[in-house]
Amino acid sequence: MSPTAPRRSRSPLAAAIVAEAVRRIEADGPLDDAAALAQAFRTRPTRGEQLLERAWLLGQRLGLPAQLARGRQAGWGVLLALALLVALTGLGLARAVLGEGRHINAVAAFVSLLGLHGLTLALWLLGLLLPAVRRAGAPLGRLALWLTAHLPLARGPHALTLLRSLGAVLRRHGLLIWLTGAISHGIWALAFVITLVVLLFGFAFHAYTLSWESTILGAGFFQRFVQLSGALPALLGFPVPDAAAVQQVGNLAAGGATGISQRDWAWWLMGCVAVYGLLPRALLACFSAWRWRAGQARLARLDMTDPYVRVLIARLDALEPPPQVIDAEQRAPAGPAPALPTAAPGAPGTLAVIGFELPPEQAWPLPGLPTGSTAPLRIAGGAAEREAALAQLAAHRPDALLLAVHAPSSPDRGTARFLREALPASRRAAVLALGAGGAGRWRDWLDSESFQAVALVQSAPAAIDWIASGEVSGHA
Amino acid sequence: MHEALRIAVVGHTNAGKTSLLRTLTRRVDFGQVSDRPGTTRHAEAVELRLDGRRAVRFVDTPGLEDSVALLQFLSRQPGDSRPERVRAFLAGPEARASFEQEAKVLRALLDQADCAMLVIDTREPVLPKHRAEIEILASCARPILPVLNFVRDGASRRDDWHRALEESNLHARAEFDVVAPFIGAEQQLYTDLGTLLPARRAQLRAITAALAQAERERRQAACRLIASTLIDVAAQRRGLPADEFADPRRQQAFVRDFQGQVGRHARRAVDELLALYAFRADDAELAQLPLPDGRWEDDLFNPELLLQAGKRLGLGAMIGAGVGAVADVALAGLSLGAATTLGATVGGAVSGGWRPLWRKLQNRIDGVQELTVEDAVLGLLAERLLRLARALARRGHAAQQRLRVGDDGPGAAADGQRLVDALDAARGHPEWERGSPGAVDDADRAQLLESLAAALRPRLEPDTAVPIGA
Repeated sequence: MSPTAPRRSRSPLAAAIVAEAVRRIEADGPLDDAAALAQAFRTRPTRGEQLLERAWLLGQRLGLPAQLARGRQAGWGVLLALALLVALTGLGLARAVLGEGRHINAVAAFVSLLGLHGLTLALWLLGLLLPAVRRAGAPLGRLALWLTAHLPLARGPHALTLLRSLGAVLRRHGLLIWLTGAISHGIWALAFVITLVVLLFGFAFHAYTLSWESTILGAGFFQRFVQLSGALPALLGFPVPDAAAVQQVGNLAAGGATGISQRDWAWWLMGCVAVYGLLPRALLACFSAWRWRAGQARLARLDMTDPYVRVLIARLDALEPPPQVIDAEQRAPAGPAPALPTAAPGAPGTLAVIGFELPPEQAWPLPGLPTGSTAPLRIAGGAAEREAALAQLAAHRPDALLLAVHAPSSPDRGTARFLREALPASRRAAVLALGAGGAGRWRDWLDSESFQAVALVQSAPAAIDWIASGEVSGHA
Repeated sequence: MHEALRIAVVGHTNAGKTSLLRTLTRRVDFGQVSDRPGTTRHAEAVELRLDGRRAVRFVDTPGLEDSVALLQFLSRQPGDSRPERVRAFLAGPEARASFEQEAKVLRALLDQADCAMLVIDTREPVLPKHRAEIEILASCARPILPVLNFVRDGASRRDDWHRALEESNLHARAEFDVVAPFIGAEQQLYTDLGTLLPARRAQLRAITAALAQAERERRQAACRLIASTLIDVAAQRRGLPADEFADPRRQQAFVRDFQGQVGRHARRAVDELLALYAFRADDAELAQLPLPDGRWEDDLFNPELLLQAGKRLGLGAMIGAGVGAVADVALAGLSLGAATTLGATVGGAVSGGWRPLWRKLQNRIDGVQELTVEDAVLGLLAERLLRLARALARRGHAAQQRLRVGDDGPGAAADGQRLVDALDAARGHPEWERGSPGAVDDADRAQLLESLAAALRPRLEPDTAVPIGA
């Protein structure tokens, strides 16, 4: 397969239809899309384009674009056939009007030529206002699409899926009414061209007698009717039979009418068909085609709120490169092992209490605790305070050191540094975790930072017990 | 297209840096989150991609732990300006030894970032070590946006922190709860960043817009997802032949099986909602639905069924009449409209408009009993799925607890009945139940789904006002 050929056939509409068809096919069970998903992820920038690309790649495997291209060609054939059919109807109409009798009821001809068209046109215009009909589209256009999918030459395994996808895509973007409208109006316009040609041919080479007849209506009605209906064609230069001519041919089937007034009647009829039949259909066909073309740009946008699409987006997100470590951890060489007593221990029974980084509302000195042999020291953790506290410890060398900390706060290496520097000054030490929660975390942390020798107490009574236990063992 | 914005996320140990990144990038599996100090010990880059495009490159850093000592150390470094002293420190041996972790933070900030988000646990008292951290970070001469975490916690010392930040000359700040963020707080964060990075303001605006768009899309998708499940459950209909119906044991087994299917539909919706909001499959659960026995239905005259039959008959007749009318015209009216009438009759019959009604009638004759879901179950399911979606929209991706939607609060019944009424249409369409044999997803189902989703939508609109920092 040459790489350019499929690209060319990939219009926004084709991409949207294939995406919808793949989605419908996947409703019966997911397709194996790992390769397609990865390729789409690599080659397209945004999620929307990636999703369309994935669907296109899967669709190519299923032969959907080829099927779509076949359907397109068949579609033109169906269009032509339908136009011929409606034209034949037009011919039938014309035949009925220009019957063998060479005698034409002009007003009845007007109604039979334009009646069905007027009715369907009114229904279409009404449909523009009704959302339910808008979504269904024009019947003739729908018929054309349906025939295309069911035609034996365009049939493939997924022809019906593609047709339903087309309907769904167009309905979602509000374009179905315009596509089917363009087709319907196009067919009608073609039919009116054929009708006009036949009328022109008939009037050119046959002598017809046009008249009107009625049982209950008077001449005044027909005069007004002809005048009103002829007003628009008259603007385009079509002659209109005047009141006298109407009066003249009325109820006189056989004779009397002059050639000139007959010509006026013929032109009036053709003018009416052109202005009320061909012109609106041609204009609406152009308008629908314009709206249809203008709307095609919208088709490239996927509905990102569709649950099916969201699942695929999540899978595309999962293809994103994983977070990347840019500055890996290098375990610092283990710090100096904190040894408790290095120098001569302080006098037995001496105690130092230090409050470290406590919250401001914490009462100090701690209620219910002995103050120790020196005044209990409270530091917020600044460098100068730390140095002062360490100097005091070194000077007094207490037997026991009780460090009160805020339990809910996370221990950190700053705390570890202080503890490490304070420990050598005393024989034994404990951390008193104040406040609810977090004590377990402190214990784990003490162990992991190799402070196993440091006790952890969680309340003032427990702290008093710890102090007492030290005194006992100290004396022993 | 600009290059992606580079943001270093810094802060004291355990302040919630990795949690913030999980929530901002919607990755539940990014990094490691725990309450142990120093959980993150390396610098790690993670990208925020919007619609597949790189928007922001975040760098997660280890916590600053030994800031008091580092600040002292920095002041002894050679250099005329603070950034020079930081560089001198980074080049020295201590950057690989005692201050290895802090060095990673400063390196990331100097070399990998346009600005920093300083995550602060506002439950902590303001201490000299925190002031030292701010001073060290400020030495890198990068804009810093303090992100105040846990502001809604009872123990939050928000005002203390406001004062402390102002004293450190940090006047812009944002509030962001990483575990339970406000709706729209994320957008606010990037808007606040714009005050610090005027050159990147347009880029930040684009990010904000893309985030808002993504949020709307998620909300709409959630509505559709819930609506689709409700249609499934409302359409669920199983027939039980008369002889089995008479046997209480088999009838019971049949009902249990039916209820199991309802549960499967609900589970599927939960899974889809979790995936939509980028959570793991077991991050939430729905409490067991109280399932009464279902209702045995004999709705031969279900209005929806009649309507459907009428519609099909009407359409068939219209097409037939159209074909007939063309024939009439072609025959120049000679048939006097006979073809039109004939066409309409044939068209109506061919369209099979009577088929569903006929099936019903047959069931009735054969004594087949049909089981459907009660209105109350539908209302309850709708309510729970909506509340799950609301909870997920407000949940940060760092949240560790499993979400459970169970006992039902007030406000359930308010518009529940309207919803159930709207679902009545689905009751006449057993083929609308996804996953059932012969399921079809036709245009009528799609239309009901859209109108249901639109009705659900107001229930998912964010109503919490976004508190604005600064």
